[in-house]
Amino acid sequence: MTAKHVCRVLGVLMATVVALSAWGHGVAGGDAAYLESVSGVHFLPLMYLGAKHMVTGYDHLLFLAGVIFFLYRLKDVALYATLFAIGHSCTLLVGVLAGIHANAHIVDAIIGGSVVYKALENIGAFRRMGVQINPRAAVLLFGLAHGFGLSTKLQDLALSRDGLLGNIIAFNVGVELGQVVALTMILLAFQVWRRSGTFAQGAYAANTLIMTAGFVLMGFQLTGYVLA
Amino acid sequence: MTDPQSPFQVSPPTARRLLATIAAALAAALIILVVAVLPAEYGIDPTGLGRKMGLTAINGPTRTLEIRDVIGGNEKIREVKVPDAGEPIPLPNPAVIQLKKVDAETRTMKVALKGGEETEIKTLLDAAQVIVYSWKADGEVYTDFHGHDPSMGQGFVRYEEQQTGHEGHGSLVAPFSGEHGWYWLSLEDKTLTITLTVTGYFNGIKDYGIIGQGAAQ
Repeated sequence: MTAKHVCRVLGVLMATVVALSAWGHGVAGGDAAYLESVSGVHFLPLMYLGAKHMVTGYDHLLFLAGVIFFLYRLKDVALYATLFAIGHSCTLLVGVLAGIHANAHIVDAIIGGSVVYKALENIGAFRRMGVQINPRAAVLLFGLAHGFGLSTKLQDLALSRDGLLGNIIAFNVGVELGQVVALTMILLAFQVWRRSGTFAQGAYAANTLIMTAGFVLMGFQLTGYVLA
Repeated sequence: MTDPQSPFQVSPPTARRLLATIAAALAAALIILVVAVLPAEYGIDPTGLGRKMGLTAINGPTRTLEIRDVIGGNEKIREVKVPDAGEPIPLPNPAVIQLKKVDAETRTMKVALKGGEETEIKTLLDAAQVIVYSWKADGEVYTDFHGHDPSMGQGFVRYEEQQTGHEGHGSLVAPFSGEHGWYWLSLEDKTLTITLTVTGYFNGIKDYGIIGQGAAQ
């Protein structure tokens, strides 16, 4: 792996992370005001907001990028994405409907941990340690954690009880659509990278960077938890 | 079914390389956190670099102000964020700050005094109005800087007396409404000129001209 390759990979990843963080995460100010003002089912707006949350959520995107890093067949991508979707849909629906108030910082720190986990798995850390983790079970489990992240963010807003179920379902549908959009973009980027011939050399470094980003997310959220 | 595997799961890196990788990732994350994320997100800035890079200002305390824009008859309300300096300590004397809608005024006056002549120039000030002044004479004068309240009759308050001098500079917050200004007496034999500049908020300046003994001549 030449220095040039490393620089290129670093550059692309850093630019992506910076661009995504610029949008921030959580439900943005204007959107929050809208959500708090509506009553009754507003399917399309809620769907849009769900999709936007997913597409601009760098923690979800980093995890997804880690999950599909070494998936070459569309069948596998679909399987893992579905497992992730089942996981986060469960906790999103149950979390909001049952009013389960998980601490947002802890949930987001766990999501950061999921990013670290996936990067470690990708570079063969668990294999080296001799630990067997079923990757499908892991993606489902971390899907549950990501869903709690979505539900705590929705619950931070004073949503009207009127039409709540319909609105959560709309939000959830949007999240899945956003996931499809995000996955498509990530897959296309990986496709281009794999064809360029630098994928094999850059893969290890890229996963190290994903792990770094996961650690940053964990530190960011744990500090927030301590301060809150 | 077999799960798809990364090449590193087929032939994992050595334990030493793995540990080095994780340590590098942790170290990089720690640096990013301490230098950039914590200063920008929470204002925690142990290295001071966050402040230097202007990151601590991003999430500094702010509050939101509603600004009403009226453009072409259409009122638009937009919100702007302004820094939140916290609750102020009450100001004991509201006269300390006096907001005005017009520019402060600056006026320069010149008076020529022959030997032994005297004059007075007075600014007309409401209580608490502020002036900044400067005067110079190209010869020696006696001066008395003082204020009159019309209700005092002949009484006056003295701010500064110079038995002999050729300049005076300062500021005055009028202690009461009335006339506040200078009496000058030339101590020279020849003609001298006094130049006075007053800046501030005043209701007028009254030039009494040559008075007393000199005026009678």
